[in-house]
Amino acid sequence: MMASTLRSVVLASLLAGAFFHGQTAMAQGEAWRPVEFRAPSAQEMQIVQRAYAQLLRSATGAEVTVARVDVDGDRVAELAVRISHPTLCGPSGCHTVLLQAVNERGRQTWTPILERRSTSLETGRMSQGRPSALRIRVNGREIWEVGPSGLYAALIESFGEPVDLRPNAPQPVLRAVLAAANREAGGGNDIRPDMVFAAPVELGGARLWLAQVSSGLLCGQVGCPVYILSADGQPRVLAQFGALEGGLVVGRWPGGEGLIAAQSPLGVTLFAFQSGRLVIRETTFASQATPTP
Amino acid sequence: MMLDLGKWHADRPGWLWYLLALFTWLLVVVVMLFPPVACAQQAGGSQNGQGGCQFLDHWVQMESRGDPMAANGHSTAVGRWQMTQAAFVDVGLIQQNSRVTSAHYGGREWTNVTFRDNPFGIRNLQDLRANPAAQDYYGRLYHQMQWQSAQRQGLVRDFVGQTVNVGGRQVQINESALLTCMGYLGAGDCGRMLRGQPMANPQNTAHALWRMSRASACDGSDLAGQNTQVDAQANLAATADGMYCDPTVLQRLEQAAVTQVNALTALAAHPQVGYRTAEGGSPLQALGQEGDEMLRALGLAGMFSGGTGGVFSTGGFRALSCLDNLLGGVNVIFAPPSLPNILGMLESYVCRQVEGLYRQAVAPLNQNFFRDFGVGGVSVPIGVGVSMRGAPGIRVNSSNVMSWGRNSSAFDMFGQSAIPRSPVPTQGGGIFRR
Repeated sequence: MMASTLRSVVLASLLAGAFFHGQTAMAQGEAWRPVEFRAPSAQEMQIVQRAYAQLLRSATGAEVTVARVDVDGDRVAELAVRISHPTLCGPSGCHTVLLQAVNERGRQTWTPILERRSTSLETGRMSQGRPSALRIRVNGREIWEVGPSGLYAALIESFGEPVDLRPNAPQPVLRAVLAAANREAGGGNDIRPDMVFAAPVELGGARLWLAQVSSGLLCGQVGCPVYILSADGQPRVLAQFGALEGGLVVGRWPGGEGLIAAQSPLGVTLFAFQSGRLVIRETTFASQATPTP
Repeated sequence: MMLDLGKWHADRPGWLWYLLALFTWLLVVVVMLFPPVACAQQAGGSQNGQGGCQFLDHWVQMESRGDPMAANGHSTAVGRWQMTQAAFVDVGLIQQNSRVTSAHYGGREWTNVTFRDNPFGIRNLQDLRANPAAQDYYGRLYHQMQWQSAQRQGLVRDFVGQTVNVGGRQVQINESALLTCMGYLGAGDCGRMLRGQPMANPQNTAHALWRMSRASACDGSDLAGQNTQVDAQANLAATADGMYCDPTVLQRLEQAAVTQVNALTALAAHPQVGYRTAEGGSPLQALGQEGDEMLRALGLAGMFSGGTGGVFSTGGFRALSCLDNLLGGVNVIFAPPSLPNILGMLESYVCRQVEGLYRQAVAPLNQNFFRDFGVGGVSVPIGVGVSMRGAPGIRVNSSNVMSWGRNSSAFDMFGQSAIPRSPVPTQGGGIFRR
């Protein structure tokens, strides 16, 4: 009996150890492999010139570097292209595009699957989904994964921590949010307290509240309104934006400003919040804030 | 140099006619198989009103193509109406107990909600997805509530029947367009956009306008009890912006446009059957070395050696600088790496875009090269799909003279389009996404 119990305990310990070791390995074992850019071959340059003829014409003297990596796991290497030119570079790096090689009916074509300004590009194993494909990390932070449809998209979680919005916000916060939301909904009382989810956050060194209103009247297909409120005795709405429910993340920009990432059907919008001002800093899709050349 | 551009020669070779006939036939086949109308009108519903559709049918078609099991992988939107949790809260079907997370996206069970008692016996999300009648009931109720909200906000009074300037685009608002604005942007940003106030999410404006334009062709009286007539085509033209269509349709349309333009270019420039100078020979031959260079640039060099050369390939088409630019311009709309998420969600625009491209590609030819030139009764039909029906045919005859001085270039006749975007090649040498 004693031996049996001991055997069970040892076995359980081993299993638990193996489990936690596995968990740790999964957490720590995120191996990222840098994409090493180099001078293009004549054939690669031809592809780049064909894809970006006008861009290269306008950016005289632009330096083109490339790398080959099979990110989608179809055994046909994609072409990573970085175009360096004063007009195409900024604080977050130079214009970088990943062209996907697609073979269709015997012809190879090239389609961009990611286009960002970057200083670094890395690849790693997918966390889920397609095991043969690779995830991509831009500038050591922004992770793109391929979805079920085969398209790459930025993961909002890679920009910061999800905001743990909860019901039953403190009364002063609730009052401020309901006042703003009902005003927006036409002045009635359609927006009820149970539609408000809020959480205290720290943004750019300031203590604030974020509150999202989950009402179909105020939400559209593009998301629901999110209010940024001061966290003093009399909370007031400082700014407003929209995000899909479940698509809200906060973090910090390298300069220390508060970062808010909001998911929309188009992709992720990155806001900077500092001193009560909210501005769109970047988007992971083409927009005025992030134009693609 | 004065050129007799209309002289038609009886000794034109049969093979060219054979090719042109073949191209025309292919075009007919392409259009029959992949009519742009399939895109442009796919969101239509029952025949009614000005645009042949009712708003509610239109919304369902746009959101899910009527599939009750549809689920958005990036939000909680489900069903025929693609209503989110927030919308189901409003109509009283659910109560949210905790926040939505991405674990609730894509039709996965809503573990954060309680389903209220309801006449349909729905107790969980899968019940809801399996019950199209319930979806229709709540969908209609939801849009009725949105209409009432729009009335309370004064949006109906202030904007229905009006033309609104949004970012320089003139958009006529009717009931259907307003309901779409509310449903897509939500009441807040919809009101702000129409009133010209700063929006919380201005990056959604372009797509919202496009959706509204599409919807403005539909009759909104099924919800609003009234229907205001607007010029939906003008709306569509004013709000054209980057959306997607079925890639196969795009590809076929592009190929059709390529084929047509190549064929017309070949016809125009061929030394035996095309325009001829008063001295004989084709305009390009008459230009000597310069003409040879132009031919090469146009991808027509092979024509003189008796073969088809590059002109009938997409390579030849892409060598046409202005067309290259036009095609490159389409890529602005796609911004492919940056807009992956909307592929499959946004339909139809590109069909119109390609149609527009086609018109743009052909129009300069008509305007600058073929205008008013009959071809002795020979008319080359052009037209890709419904919206092409109005495109002008090309007629060339022998009584016109066109000046083509040394200061002109071959590209002048096509006009130039400076769209600052590089083309991204795809199959067929085009730029469209797969």
